[in-house]
Amino acid sequence: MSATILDVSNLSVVFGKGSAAVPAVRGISFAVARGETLGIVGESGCGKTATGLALLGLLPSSGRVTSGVARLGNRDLLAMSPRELRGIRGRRLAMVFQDPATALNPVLSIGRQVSEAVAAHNSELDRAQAKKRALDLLEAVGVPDPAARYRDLPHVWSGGMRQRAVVAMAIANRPRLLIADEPTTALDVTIQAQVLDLLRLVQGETGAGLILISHDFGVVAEMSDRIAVMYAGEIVETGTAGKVMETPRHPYTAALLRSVPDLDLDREQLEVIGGQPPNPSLLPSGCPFRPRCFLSGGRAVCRETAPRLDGEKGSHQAACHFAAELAIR
Amino acid sequence: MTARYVARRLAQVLPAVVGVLLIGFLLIQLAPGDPILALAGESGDAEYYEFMRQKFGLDRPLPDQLWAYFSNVIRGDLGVSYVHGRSVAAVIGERLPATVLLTSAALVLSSIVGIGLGIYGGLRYRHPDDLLLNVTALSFYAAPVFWVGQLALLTLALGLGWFPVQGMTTAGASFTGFAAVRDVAAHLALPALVLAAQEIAAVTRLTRVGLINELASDHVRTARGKGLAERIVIVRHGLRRTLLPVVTVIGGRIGHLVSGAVVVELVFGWPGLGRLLVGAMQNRDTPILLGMFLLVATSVIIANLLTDLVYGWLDPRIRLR
Amino acid sequence: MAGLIPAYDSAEKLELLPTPTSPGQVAVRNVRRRPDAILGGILLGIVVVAALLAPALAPFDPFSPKGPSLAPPSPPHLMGTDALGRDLWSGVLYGARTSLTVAFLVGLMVLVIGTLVGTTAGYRGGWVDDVLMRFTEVLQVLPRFFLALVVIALFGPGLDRLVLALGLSSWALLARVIRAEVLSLREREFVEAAVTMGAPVRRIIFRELLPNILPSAVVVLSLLLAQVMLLEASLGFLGLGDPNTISWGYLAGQAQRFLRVAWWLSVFPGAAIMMAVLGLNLVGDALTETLGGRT
Repeated sequence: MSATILDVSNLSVVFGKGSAAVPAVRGISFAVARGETLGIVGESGCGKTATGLALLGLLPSSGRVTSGVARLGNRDLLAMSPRELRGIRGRRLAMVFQDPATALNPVLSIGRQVSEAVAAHNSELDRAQAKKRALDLLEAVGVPDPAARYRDLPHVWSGGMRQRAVVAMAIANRPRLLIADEPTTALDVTIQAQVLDLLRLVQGETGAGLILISHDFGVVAEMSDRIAVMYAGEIVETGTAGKVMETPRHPYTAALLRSVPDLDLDREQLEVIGGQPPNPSLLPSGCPFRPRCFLSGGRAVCRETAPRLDGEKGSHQAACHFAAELAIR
Repeated sequence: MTARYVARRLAQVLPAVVGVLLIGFLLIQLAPGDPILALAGESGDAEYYEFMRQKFGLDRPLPDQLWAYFSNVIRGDLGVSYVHGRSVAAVIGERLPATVLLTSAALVLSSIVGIGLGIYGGLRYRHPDDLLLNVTALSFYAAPVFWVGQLALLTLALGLGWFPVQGMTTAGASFTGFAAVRDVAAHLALPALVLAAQEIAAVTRLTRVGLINELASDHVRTARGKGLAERIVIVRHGLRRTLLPVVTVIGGRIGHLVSGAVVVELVFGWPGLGRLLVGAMQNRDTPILLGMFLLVATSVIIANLLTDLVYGWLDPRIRLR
Repeated sequence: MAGLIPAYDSAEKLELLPTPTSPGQVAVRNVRRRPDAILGGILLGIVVVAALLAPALAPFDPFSPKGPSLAPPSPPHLMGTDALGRDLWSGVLYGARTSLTVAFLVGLMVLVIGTLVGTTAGYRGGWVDDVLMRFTEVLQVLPRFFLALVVIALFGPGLDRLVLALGLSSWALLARVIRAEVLSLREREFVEAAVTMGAPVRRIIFRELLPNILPSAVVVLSLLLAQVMLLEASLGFLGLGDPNTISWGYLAGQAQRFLRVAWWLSVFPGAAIMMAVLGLNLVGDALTETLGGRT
């Protein structure tokens, strides 16, 4: 059995203060093993990005972690001092951010930003050595002729190239765990595949764990060993990728899977899930998915009690009162 | 910074200057009464007016007048002040250095102090320090410059006696060399501070907000995500982008500074363009006023040009194009 | 398959969809709670009340030299008197009228001209845009203080000249901001939808564009009016305001000669100006932050 590198229990994140506080993440738990890819999937606003940011201590000033333990190795990320966190970021734990256009400093050369990532945790290296490493990294992520492009400013590179640079920065110090937050959302479909391949390659070589966050089930399906489906700040289903995709146990997952366009099936209309994700500050009583759920049928327990994930951590879990019925359909 | 950028920027200066001159010309023509009054003042005699009429081509058709006006102004001939009996250029030229001294001192002071305070406030966002700073900056930003001057005069000069009350030099004394410089500096201190106050407030506010926004931006998040020391994050990633627009703003506020300088001079008896201006208003000496208007407008245009060039040099996206 | 698209009753629906609001409504709602906006509103409110109720609140005619000369603040002259024995408190109250009138009229001119130019330039584009922008560039460069001086020297002092001079030279920034907004909104789907439906241009501008531009326009306007007030005060300080009206700047200007002996002549009018300008700035700032600093 592979070693667990990250173990998260009961993580909660809140934005805002007092009466205007909005719960973005509501007590989620998951784990990532070495070499494993965990895909966190869900619609916008379900709390998946907040989860990633919380682990790194990079929540915006309006957000804060209100509960939870996140064990990386043998230390709790959420209990670390800012100084300790800085030692970890970019070294043991790194993030590939969402939008390469804004994630890079527009007035610094890309080469500089990559070598900066190297130098951050290797103070013994001088400028030239850091630059050499940066060039190696850029080549490893597939940037053609990095030496000629070292001094380029981000705006002259294409989106795909920029994202590769962001990946290069993240893997500069061979982190044990990578968090990729919507790494392909801002890119063209053809480039998406390349970036995913790159992530897979990196993972293969370093044995790092990868948390892949996306709203695109297709992306998650392709890359993940395990999947966690999030809705309204909670994990509503989790399990191995195969099981979750073939035999979903939560109606939301089932609906999501149906809505992925599939050329093989003979359909005339795109399937959609009616309605919108709930406003996090105005959650429905009981199960948050209830208003959009086809399985509920208006049954009282759905309105009264919020379902919890069943089963053991690590098994195929779902948070639904009628998960059993889904299997029959 | 490419030659093309510089050339393009320079090319924009010309239409602006032409526009300003046109407006000046338009005002002269639109004013009630004979345009000659605007160009030669109201207290001239018939002979003098005839002379000026010829000079500015007022008896010729409009396009010729425009051309005469333009060519005169370009050559530095802004007309003659009958009140002073000399050319406008000479009269203004005499009083200009004192105003330039005051304005420059205020500009330097406000830039340094403003940026410094802005950085401090931005870093201490949401702390009580920052709140106090913000409130103070807001107050100075809202207070009319003559009021700040009067209050400063009342409390610091008349009240506490820390600063001389009026003038540029101590009356009756004749210092030389370093002592003279020190004397002027002592007299310059309070007016420059007062004039700078509103500018400091403006620059502080801008820098502070800029830094706060930058520190909350995505690319700073990335920088933190790399595990960089906070100091590097702030200086290398936060400040660089913050200071760029501040440069533009500082240059762009020259117009305000000069207007403020005129008023401050009156409060403190500083011998610059202020007194000249009041006299000109009282005597309806329009050539002087027009001359000042054109001068300040041109200064603003040039200041904008310089600021843009400096900005172009500082922002690598423009520099390396 | 049909089972996946649920039919929900209207009670459920309410839980799903938040009530739609325009950016203006959102802005107003958020702004109302902010402490800086509240303070700004109070300050402005005081000034407006003073201006409106001046005749009722002023115990004396501000022009009449009835009282003792240069009397310090004490009953019945709560703010003291000037060299001619005129009550300062009354002067300050009536001064509010002048400042607000100028600000209001200039604001109106700037709003009308600026919106006209900005929407035309942004919507039409092409050479119209170029010409108009060139024009605004020149206007933005003009030092308004000196321009006002020239105008007053040529045309004589008076409230109408002042308002015209300031109004005609201050709309450039608003036009630019509106133009920028129009440019970005023009490409958005709801405008395209209106165009496709064959809506006439005027209707598109009024129904679709302007309501979305309003918040930014208000921000620019509030900060501009603050500048205008300060300008008008400086001109008054130099004695160049309308001689038939009392203005705060004028009162402060009169104080210059008597500074050593009558501090109240400078302190109170200046404080009044600061109150009004601060009020405008606070409201403008609060709006800017609420709108996400898009301006």
